Amino acid sequence: MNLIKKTSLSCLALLAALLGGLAQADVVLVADASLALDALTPEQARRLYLARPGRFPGGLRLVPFDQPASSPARRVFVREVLKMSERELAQYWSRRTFAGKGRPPRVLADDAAVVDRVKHTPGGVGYIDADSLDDDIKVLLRIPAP
Amino acid sequence: MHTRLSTWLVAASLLLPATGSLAVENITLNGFLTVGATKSNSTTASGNGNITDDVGFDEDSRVGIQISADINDRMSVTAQLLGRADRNQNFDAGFDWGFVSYALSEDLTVRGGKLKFPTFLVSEYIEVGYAYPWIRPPAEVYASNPITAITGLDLLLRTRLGPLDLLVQPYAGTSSGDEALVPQEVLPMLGLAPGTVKYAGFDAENMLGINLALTGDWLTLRGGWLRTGVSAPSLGVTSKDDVRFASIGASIDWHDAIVYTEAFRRDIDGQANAFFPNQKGWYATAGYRIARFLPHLTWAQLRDDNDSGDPGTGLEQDSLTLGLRVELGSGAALKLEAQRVEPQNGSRGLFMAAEDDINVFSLAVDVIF
Repeated sequence: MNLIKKTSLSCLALLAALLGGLAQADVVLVADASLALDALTPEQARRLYLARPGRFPGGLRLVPFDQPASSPARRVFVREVLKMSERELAQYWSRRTFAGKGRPPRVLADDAAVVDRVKHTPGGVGYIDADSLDDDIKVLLRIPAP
Repeated sequence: MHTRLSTWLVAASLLLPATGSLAVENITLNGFLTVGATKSNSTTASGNGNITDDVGFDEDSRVGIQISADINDRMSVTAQLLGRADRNQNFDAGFDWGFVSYALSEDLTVRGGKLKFPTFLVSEYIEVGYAYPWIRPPAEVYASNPITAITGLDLLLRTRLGPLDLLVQPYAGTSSGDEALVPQEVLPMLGLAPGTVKYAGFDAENMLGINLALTGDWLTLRGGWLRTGVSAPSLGVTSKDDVRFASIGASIDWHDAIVYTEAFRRDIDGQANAFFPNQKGWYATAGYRIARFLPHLTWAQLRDDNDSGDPGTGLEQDSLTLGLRVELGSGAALKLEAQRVEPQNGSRGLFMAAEDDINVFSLAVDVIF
């Protein structure tokens, strides 16, 4: 009885994961195609978005852009790359900001705003849903949908 | 002359559209607010007069606005406006600090202006209750340095050490205009009655210090040291007496467990010792997060560190605080605390007069926006 219950639960979990996978595309960290950098590691991306030392690979000055807490891409990015909860992130930035020792990345409205902004900002970097990619931007890091 | 004028015009025409858009784009406003109530079971008030056996709102309530503006990609200006109950229990608002920051490189920033003082782990954001677990950090440690801001310069040098970040922050400057609570014991010398809440201005000159912090994902270790010369003309202290202050601390946030612990030692020579006696103190806080709830327990001690012959009167107390922080969504928290304070060795501790023990109950809501 217990075994059947467990098996059916795992099947349900698998199904949910598959459906979730269909709903949420990969998240990609992008920059303008002209950027003199082709890839960022998850650790580099994390340091960049948390304004920690080592955030500018090879001394290249990068400008990260964020999305609102309601954005599905942000949920994936914060959990998989920053490895934090929204609460932890809010506390991290409240300490840095109010100590006068740093500010969080600028929050843009949506994928389209991020794509537009990275094209027009030297060193601009932002994360978007992989479905929003276009030919003028390149992928620095792909975060597979969980 | 004409060439100069045209050069200026060209320069201005190039700059105008840029600065126009910058002015809107690059100004950030952040705010914080705490509304807090306190009540004790004793007719003996806290040393600053704020905590009594009547429900009071002066100890913890405050509101602040922080304004930051990017001047260019290396330079920015940041200032914080703070409003709270003043020394006379009236509401008062003013600029708490403000500075210009210049990034010399990715990892080296120089700041100049009026800088919030990095005495302890949460000193630089001590008004932002949302950023720490307690309603107020333990007074046995945090009340020991009346200097809250310095006018001067500091350097922020950040280096990566494997998975950890090291911050080296040397600073130099002066502090004038800060006020310290005058100890009850010296009120008669000033012709004031016991129980009076009296603040006196003091100057700290030739201040040199360093703040070091090693930070990882779940651990922060910090240490600080400073030296300055203190005078308080209104109290007759004119000799720029030598002050040395050292502090160490650690904080841990590992999975759902949190720990904060800090210790300090303050040494003050000469006449100033009568008003700021030598002290040492420490505290430890441990808590465990269960979903939205963070119950925590704090033990704190303040001890006299004077030698025989030093003029100051030692103030000693122990306290045990049981607290609960409840997250109200992202950016807001409700906090409840019950604290038992026991002044030690016949001293009055941080209260107006000696008591066996005093219970303090506090409630606060912290918001950032």
